[in-house]
This record gives sequence, C-alpha cells and structure tokens, in this order.
Amino acid sequence: MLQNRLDCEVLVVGSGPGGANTAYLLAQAGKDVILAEEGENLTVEQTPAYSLEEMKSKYRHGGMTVALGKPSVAYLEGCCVGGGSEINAGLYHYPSPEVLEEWVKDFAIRDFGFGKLEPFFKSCEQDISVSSMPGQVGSASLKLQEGARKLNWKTAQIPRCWKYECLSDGTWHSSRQSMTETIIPKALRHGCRLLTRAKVKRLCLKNHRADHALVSSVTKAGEQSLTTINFRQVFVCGGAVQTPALLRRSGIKKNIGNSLRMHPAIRMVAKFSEAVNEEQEGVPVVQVEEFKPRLTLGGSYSALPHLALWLGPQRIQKLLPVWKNLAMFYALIVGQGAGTVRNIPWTDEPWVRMPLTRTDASSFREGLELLGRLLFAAGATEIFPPMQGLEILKTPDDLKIFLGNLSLNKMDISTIHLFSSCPMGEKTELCAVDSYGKLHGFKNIYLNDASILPSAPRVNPQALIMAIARRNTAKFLENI
Amino acid sequence: MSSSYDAVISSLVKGLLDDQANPVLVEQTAQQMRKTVRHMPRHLSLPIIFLTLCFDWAGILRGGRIFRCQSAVSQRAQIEDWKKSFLSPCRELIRFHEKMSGFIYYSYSPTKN
Ligand SMILES: Cc1cc2nc3c(=O)[nH]c(=O)nc-3n(C[C@H](O)[C@H](O)[C@H](O)COP(=O)(O)OP(=O)(O)OC[C@H]3O[C@@H](n4cnc5c(N)ncnc54)[C@H](O)[C@@H]3O)c2cc1C
Repeated sequence: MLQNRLDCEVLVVGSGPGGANTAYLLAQAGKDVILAEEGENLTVEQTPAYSLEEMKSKYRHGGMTVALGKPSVAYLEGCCVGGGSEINAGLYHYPSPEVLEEWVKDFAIRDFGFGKLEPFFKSCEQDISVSSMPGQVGSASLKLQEGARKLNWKTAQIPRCWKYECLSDGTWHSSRQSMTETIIPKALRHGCRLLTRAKVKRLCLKNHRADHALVSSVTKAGEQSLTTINFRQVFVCGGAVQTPALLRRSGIKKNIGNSLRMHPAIRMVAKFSEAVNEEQEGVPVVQVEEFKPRLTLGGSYSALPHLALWLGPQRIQKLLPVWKNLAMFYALIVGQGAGTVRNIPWTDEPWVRMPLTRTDASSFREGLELLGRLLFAAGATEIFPPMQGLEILKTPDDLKIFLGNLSLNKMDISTIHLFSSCPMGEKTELCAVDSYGKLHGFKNIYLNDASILPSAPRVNPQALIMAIARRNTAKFLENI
Repeated sequence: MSSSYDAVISSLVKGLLDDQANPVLVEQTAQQMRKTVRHMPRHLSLPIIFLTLCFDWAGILRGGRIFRCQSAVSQRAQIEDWKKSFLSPCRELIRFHEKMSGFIYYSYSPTKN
C-alpha cells in the first residue's frame, strides 16, 4: 500500500454544506486548507436527479442505511463532494427565532439567536442563489394548496437553493445550487486543496490535541493508499452520523453520538381523477404551514420508480395506466427520541439506533390523519397507506378505521434530516462542543455541521447548518 | 454460498415482479439487487444474505425442494407465506426485496415516461 504525507494549516473533513462553507471562509482568509471528502467528485448533471444512478454514486451505501429500532427508520446521507446538498431538494428555510431562543436557554449557547445569525444567512444567500419557483407551481403542489384552502389551512411556497433561467422559447431552465456548483469552486479558487475518495479513518491524539489524521484513499482502479495529514487545526464536518463515528473511532466519546435527533416522515400515495404527476415538478415546493413547527405536510418526488418503491411492484403494475394520476405526500414530525451512534468493533461502520417514543407514535397518527384529510379535501379518490397489504382508503371513514388499527411497528418510516449527535453549548454535561463548535476538552478540534445543532430545528436544516458553519468559522478566524 | 445466493435472488425477484414483467429487465433487476445488498453496511447485508439463504432452504419444509428449484406457482405461494409470517424478520425480508425490486425494475423500465 502506498504511504503519503501531506501538511496543511487546517484540515476540513467532509464537504457537505457544513464543511464546504467552513473550507471556503478559511481559504478566503488565506489559510492553507485541505478539504478531505470520502465520496467522489461528480457534477450535478452527471446523474439524473433522484435516480437509481444518483443513489449508486452519490448516496452513502447506495441509500441503504437504517437506524435500528422498533420500527427501524431508513435514513439517507450524501457521500460525494458536496454531501447532502448534491442530492437534496434544496428547500431553504429559516428556523423560528423561538427555537433558537430555546436552544440558548437549554444548552447555554453564547452569542446566539436569530438576529446574530441573520448576517450569515444573508451572506450564504449571496453565494448561493436562493429563489422561489417562477410562474405557477406544479400540479402536486396545487393539490396541496387546494386541499388546504378547503380546510382553511395556511400553506406557503418554500424557496430553494435553485437557479431559474428563462430560455429564449419562454420555458424555464432550473438548476440545483449545490456545494459543487457554488461554494466549493470558490474555496478552490482561494487555494483550498480538495482530496476526493479520501476517508479520514481516525484522528491521532496527543495532549488534548489532534496531532494528525490517517486518511485512506482508493483510486477508481482499486489501488489503496494511506495518507498522513499533519495540521494545526481540524474541522470535522462529516454530518450527523459520520462525525460522531469518526470521533468515537479516534477515542473521543464524551457526549458524542448520544443524542442523535431526526425529523422522521411517513408517506401516503394519493390517486386523483386527473393527472397530477409532472416530471418537471421535481419535489413539490408547497408545504402546509398550519401545524408547523410540530408537523409539516408536503409532497415528495413521485416518479414511477419511487411510486413502485412505496406501493410495491404488483400494485404499481395494476396502476400503470393511471400512474400519472398518482403522487406521493408526506407528514414529517419532530422526533422526540434520542438516538445513538456507535462503531461496530473492528470496522469503521457506525451502528445507529433510534428509539421512537410514544409521543412520536401519536404525532405520526395525527400526521396521517391530517394528511389523509388534506388529500381527500384536495379531491383524492384513493389513498394508499404506508403499509403494503392494507386496504386502499376511499373515504374519510376508511381513514378513521385505518387510524383506529394503526400499528407503527409495521410502517415504513424514513428520514433525510439528521442532527444533534454532538450538541453545542456551554452545558458540559450535555454538550460535546462549546458555543462556537470547539470540542470541549480539546485545543484544536472543531465540529461544524449538522451534528452540532442542539436539537431538531423543526424546519429543513441546510440553511441553518450553513449559517452556523459561517458564524463559527468567522469566530475561529477572529480568535486566531 | 455466493452462487446459491445469486440464484435465490433471481428467483425471488422474478416471483415478486408481475408475470408480465420483461424477463431481460427482471434479470437486470436481480443483478442490481445483489449489488445493492452487497453495498449495504455489513451489519445489514450479512443478516439479509443469511436470511435469504434460510428462505431458500425453508422451501424444503414447505414443498420438498429449495425455493429456487420450485415451480413459479409454489415460489409465489412461499413468498406470500413469508409476507404474512408472524416472524417480523421474515416479513421484513420480503418487504425489503419487494420494495427494491419495484424501484429498480421501474428505473430500468422504458414505461417510466
Ligand atoms: C435526499 C435528501 C433531501 C434533502 N432535502 C433537504 C432540503 O430540501 N432542504 C434542507 O434544508 N435539507 C435537506 N436535506 C438535508 C441536508 O441535505 C443535510 O441536512 C445537510 O446536507 C447536512 O450537511 P452536513 O454538512 O452536516 O453533512 P453532509 O451533507 O452529510 O456532508 C458530510 C460529508 O462528509 C463526508 N464524510 C463523512 N465522514 C467522512 C470521513 N471520515 N472522511 C471524509 N469525508 C467524510 C460525507 O461523505 C459527506 O459528503 C436533505 C437530505 C437528503 C439526504
């Protein structure tokens, strides 16, 4: 095996929204930065959005990752340059000021709150185009609006990290504003060095400092090499599961990986009497605001393979002639259970557990009830519940019977929002890092990604992750 | 073990997809299914592979032959039995393959547009 050695001032591990913004600001300030990313460097166009190809090349383990529990929760993470931003819908949401204030109180975070973060939201928005969809929203979004209007519920169109350009024929071209399209090229222009297919195996510690990192790389041809990276400071930004996994592999365990939170979601497919499934709609941008932040109702990507995934091949075969009348919707809750991230001995694979609580079960019940009512109000003629083999719901009465017999254990629950495995704050009995992401008890290790959010943000998290990453990096530069 | 597993997956995927499914795409789906399982974290893939082999051998108790050597009709019946099993790992095994076969098959299928 090849052995290499590299030196830098700051090593950033992971190139998702947290790591990319960290590396960019550090490089812009003249630091000598290496950005190490386990996944490949692929452009947005290289794989069709939400396709099998994309899952194989940009998702961790091809999208086959599960937090074990009763029931288990399937979760998704990006594993490529740009991390989750390369595969996500880019829905861009500010957190509510109340949630941030709650964090200040519960975790004793210094210098924090909406007002303090606002300049960092704005600076992100200057670097990433955040915009609302021009013209009319897609058909599935219209259905959400129609149902909500009939029930007197509020809805909103959520802006996205997306760029829309009007073409000469009057149609719109839209493109995802992921990290590889926006922040990473900026970091590279400022001299940041990007290592791809480079997994940081462990940080080697000496006297409350990380001394160097051991990084294993595999070329496309399968050639393996081990690189030692020497640095003065290290930012770990591997995401809510991989960050605690790396720290624990390195022997750092205090408050690491004990409080993983998520926004679990449950889905239902609805059939309408007219076509609602448009390929160009992508992920519907309308969400029901009425029950936020406790509960969010919205629409999912509903291409034929995704419908087949949720409905099963036999059922979708029967529905093929009318599949354009089908669309998938979700109810997303704020999970109350605290999960754990541990490492499986002799491997570097994390073992993730997520217990769902009774409160979660009743939130799901409520979410399904509200979603069912919304879809019937929007004109759904049939609703397929999130469990195979069950009766199709044709009326609101069927929905009541279904809810009466509901067993959470048999349901398909999944999540794309994970955080809080290494919470930030000054309460050392709860928190892994201080108010600015510096690991308690260590002199040169910083965390700057979803893992440090103190608890579930109750909205799509990327905007907040980027703003906090920028705030913490600015503080780091100020102190240094 | 590996070739037995590969063969069970081909039969299982075929049994899970509709009779009218395109045979070329069915085999492509089975191939991708095997890759998908092997790409999973080991603490998930090893139990799945082990349980899939148990599923194959369970055919002997049910119909005197391992699953992959049964007729299409008995294969479907065994799948249905496991789908409704009181043991959740058995149900989950079928559920997982059913969902993934649907996703992969329709990712390859030209009808998607
Ligand atoms: C399908 C999907 C849709 C989503 N939709 C939205 C949305 O619409 N709006 C929104 O706000 N959020 C959305 N999210 C969530 C959002 O993408 C994540 O919260 C965000 O990407 C987390 O950023 P992060 O920097 O913490 O980690 P990640 O984005 O997970 O990035 C971490 C990176 O670090 C790398 N890494 C990990 N460990 C190591 C190591 N040891 N060595 C080297 N590299 C390593 C990983 O490969 C990865 O690329 C979605 C997520 C998914 C999966």
